[in-house]
Amino acid sequence: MKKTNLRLTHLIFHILSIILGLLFILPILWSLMASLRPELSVMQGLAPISIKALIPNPFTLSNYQGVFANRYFTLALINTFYVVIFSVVFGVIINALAGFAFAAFRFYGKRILFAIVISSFLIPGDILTIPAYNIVESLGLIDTKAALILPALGNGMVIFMFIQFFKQIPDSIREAALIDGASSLQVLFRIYVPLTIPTMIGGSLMLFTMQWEAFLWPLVVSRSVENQMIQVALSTFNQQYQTAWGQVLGAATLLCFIPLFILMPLQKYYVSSVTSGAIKG
Amino acid sequence: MRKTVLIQFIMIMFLIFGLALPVFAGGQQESADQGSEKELKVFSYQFLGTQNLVQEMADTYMEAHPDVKIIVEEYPWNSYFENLEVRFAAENPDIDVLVMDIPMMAGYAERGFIEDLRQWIPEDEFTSKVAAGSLAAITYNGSIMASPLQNSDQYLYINKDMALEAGVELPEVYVDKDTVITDEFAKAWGEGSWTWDEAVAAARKMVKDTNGDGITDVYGLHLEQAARLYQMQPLGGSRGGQIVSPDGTTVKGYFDQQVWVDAVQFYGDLFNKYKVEPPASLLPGYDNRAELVKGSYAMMIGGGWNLKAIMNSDKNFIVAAHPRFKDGVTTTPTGSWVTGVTASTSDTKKALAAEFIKWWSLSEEGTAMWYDLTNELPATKYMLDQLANSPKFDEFPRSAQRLGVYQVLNTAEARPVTPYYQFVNEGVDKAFLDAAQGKDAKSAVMDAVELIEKKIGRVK
Amino acid sequence: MLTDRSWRVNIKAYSFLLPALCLIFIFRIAPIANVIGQSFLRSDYITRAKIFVGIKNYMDLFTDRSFWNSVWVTIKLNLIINPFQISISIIMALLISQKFRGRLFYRALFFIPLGVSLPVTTIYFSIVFRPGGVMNFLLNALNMPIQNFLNSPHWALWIVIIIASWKGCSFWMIFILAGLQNIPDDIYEASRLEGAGPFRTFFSLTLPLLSKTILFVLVTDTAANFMMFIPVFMLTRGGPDNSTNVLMYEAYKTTFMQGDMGHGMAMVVFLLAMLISILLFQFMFLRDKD
Repeated sequence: MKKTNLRLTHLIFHILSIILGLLFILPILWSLMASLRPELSVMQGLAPISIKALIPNPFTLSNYQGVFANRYFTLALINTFYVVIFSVVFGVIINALAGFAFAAFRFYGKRILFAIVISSFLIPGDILTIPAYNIVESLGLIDTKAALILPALGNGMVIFMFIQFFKQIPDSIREAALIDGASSLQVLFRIYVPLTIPTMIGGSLMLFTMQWEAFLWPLVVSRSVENQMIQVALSTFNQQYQTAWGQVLGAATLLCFIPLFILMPLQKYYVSSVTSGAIKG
Repeated sequence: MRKTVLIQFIMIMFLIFGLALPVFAGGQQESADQGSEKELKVFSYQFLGTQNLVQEMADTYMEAHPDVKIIVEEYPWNSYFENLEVRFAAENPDIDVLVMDIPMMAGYAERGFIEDLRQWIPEDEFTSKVAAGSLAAITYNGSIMASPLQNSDQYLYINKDMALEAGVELPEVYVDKDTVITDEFAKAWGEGSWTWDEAVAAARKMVKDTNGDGITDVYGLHLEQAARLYQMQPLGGSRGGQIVSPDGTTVKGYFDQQVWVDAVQFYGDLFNKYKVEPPASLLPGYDNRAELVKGSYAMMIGGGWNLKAIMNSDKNFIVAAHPRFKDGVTTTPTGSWVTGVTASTSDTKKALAAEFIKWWSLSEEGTAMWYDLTNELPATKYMLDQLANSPKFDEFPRSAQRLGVYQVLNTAEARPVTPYYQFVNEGVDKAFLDAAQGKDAKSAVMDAVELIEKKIGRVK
Repeated sequence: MLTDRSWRVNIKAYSFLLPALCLIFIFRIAPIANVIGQSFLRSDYITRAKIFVGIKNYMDLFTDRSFWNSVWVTIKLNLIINPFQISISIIMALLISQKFRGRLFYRALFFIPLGVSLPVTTIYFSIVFRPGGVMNFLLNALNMPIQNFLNSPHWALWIVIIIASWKGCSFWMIFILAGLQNIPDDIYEASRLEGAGPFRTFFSLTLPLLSKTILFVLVTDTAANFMMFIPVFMLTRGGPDNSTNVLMYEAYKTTFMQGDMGHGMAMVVFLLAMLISILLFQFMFLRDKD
């Protein structure tokens, strides 16, 4: 009896999971397949529904050629990579430094600054887009890469992650290194840093995701083609070329698979970074 | 311990407000390097959607004037207005030549964004070169605030095969590939238009459910710029409706009249009662022309900018005049883009800008080139004369623009002149869109009037 | 750890902190002051000069029907979407933490939306729900009346909810999973030995133990959904008939499409105030349940 019950329950699990799983994978699978078909066949198999929708036949790469031939989109893609790399590299560095300071030192104003750092990520950035725009404008930074990178560098969540991490490192390691005659800075680099790598990856993924998905901020702050970010470019691309569905879907597919290629292998780092705040907080 | 935290908190607050203070004034830092004195920045709408036509004009001008550098920013329809507002909100908009939609000119003039062009271009340049209708449009309070780039004309495109197949009786006079267009023909054509009743009846006949699954596959009629004042105006204008008071300050007593409720109701009916309009056309990104040529719907009321593409497509299209209400007259949308000099730039640049504008919009060379690039109905006497008489334009579809001339002289009704056009536009557009999406016409109109008046009230 | 608070230490600490802190100040804290200050100003329509108008912007908003409509749409959206997303996330998390063959495969599938950005999601669902699209075909095939989803004031908000949830549920599922993993297995053992069925175990055991996680998810999800923007901007543009005109979009429209920063700022202040009070309320109310 118990065994059939178990089988039945597992069957239900499978069914539910399959339904949900299909819901999640079908859109991007279809997008990929449809973008590999010529324009006239892009929408085949949708109404009436048939398996033809998921088969890349006839096959063509012309949509992707079209996407990359589009100056606006390609420039935005290049700019996004540029912004992302800068944001991740510098973001991790300065947030790690800040996290280290909170974890390792006692200093004047620590409690209140800590509270400010925490509250900075409780209030979602998008709400403050309009006033932040004002500030950026008065700094003369409208339509610059700096405007895209700087606001994203200081990230309370990443700082918090590093605080958690640094707090965990036992003092004994540091003491041992000091006894061996290393200076504070050497301690930092030789000992701490290698241990930091998982947290750094987690922080990088956070920053990567934030910049990759940025929409409202670049919408408001970027004007010229060279400074546009990819999500806004996609939205504009969709508006302007909507009859060229093959290309729109090609662009969309591209925008799905790039982050998936990065996130999937690193998913455990992503998960742990995202939840580090939840578990303690 | 608590006291220390409090002190720290107060210090932090001072720091924050100190940082944010310079920004309260909303002003900018000293404007960044304005570029060399001979550099012109053009802020423009992106004509025809994807090519950089304005840049081409600029390039040609720069060849003849190597000491001037022209940088062009072109924005597609859905971001042009937003970007413009944001630019002009800044201390230094960094724009020298502004390409603007004609009904917005009044507002920009009132707000001091643009200059009276007569400071650099003598008035008789305009009176001698610009066609009458366009001349009126660029004048505001007696000053000439902009120079016209083009005009616009509207046509009823009918898929002849679909019409014949459905047993529809074609309009009395229509144009097809072989028609020779003369002034007399144009007159007969204009007067031989369908009434709206006839148009709707024809459209209904052409609606089809090709595979019998209960979902319509082919629709009957589509007004190109869905729920846009430019396209919607004839629905009220045909029966004499005015949107705005003559002094341009209010819509109360004008847009709230029965004639507009009827107009809004009619547009809504096209979607909901007669079901001849494709509902997908209300969503962003719908490609009107491609869908017409594809056969997703049978007839379109749209601009002359579609003529060449539609008539040269693989389907058999004919062109008729804009419908009118049985108890009204034919009015057609008109007006298009104009260009002016911004007030915020330096005097040297203003003069340079005026020179460029003069070449682009008034010279024979400039206007001919612009016409070649855009095929838009011209606004200058020279080009219109060319259209009417030059053998270059004897062949269809180029000759069809002679029908445009007919419209300009007989049926064109300009959009309302008001410095608050953007608010009026927003409200009117919304009323029509709401009705198309199922809202009751009377409340749609009343809500729109309330919205418009509220926004005007805030800035008056 | 250094335990003395000497000047040297302070300087050291601040030098480590300064870059990040400065940036956070300039771009996250200062805007709060800025928005409050700017909401008391207005740009003259003609001269573009900024003038102080006191609380007039707020007074204008309070008598404005469409402002209150936006407030209502925002609240309505959040009332529906937050419980919806959390429930689905819990179901998803529970599902893949059960021990059955293939759950790791399903987990990978459930993670997919994390890599798909909201604009892309909006594009996909616009294809599904447009007139003549997949959803209508399915409805028609099942002999149900087809709906004009995106053009109908009744449906449009639901479409926004669906789009945001497709992506959101996967994200929040991660948190619930983490919370679930914190619950030691022996507790389940104990409950099973006592003969409790799966539903009872869930409601009296799992749920209470998850409450801290659920609270966190609720708070953060609400904060995120208060700023709902992308599907509205890309697809519905606040319509039809203002049925999806969330406050964030209305503020954007007012500021950037109509150049009216004063009122836009006032809306943002109001939105912030709403958000903070709801967050505080959630914290206090739900914390007490312990």
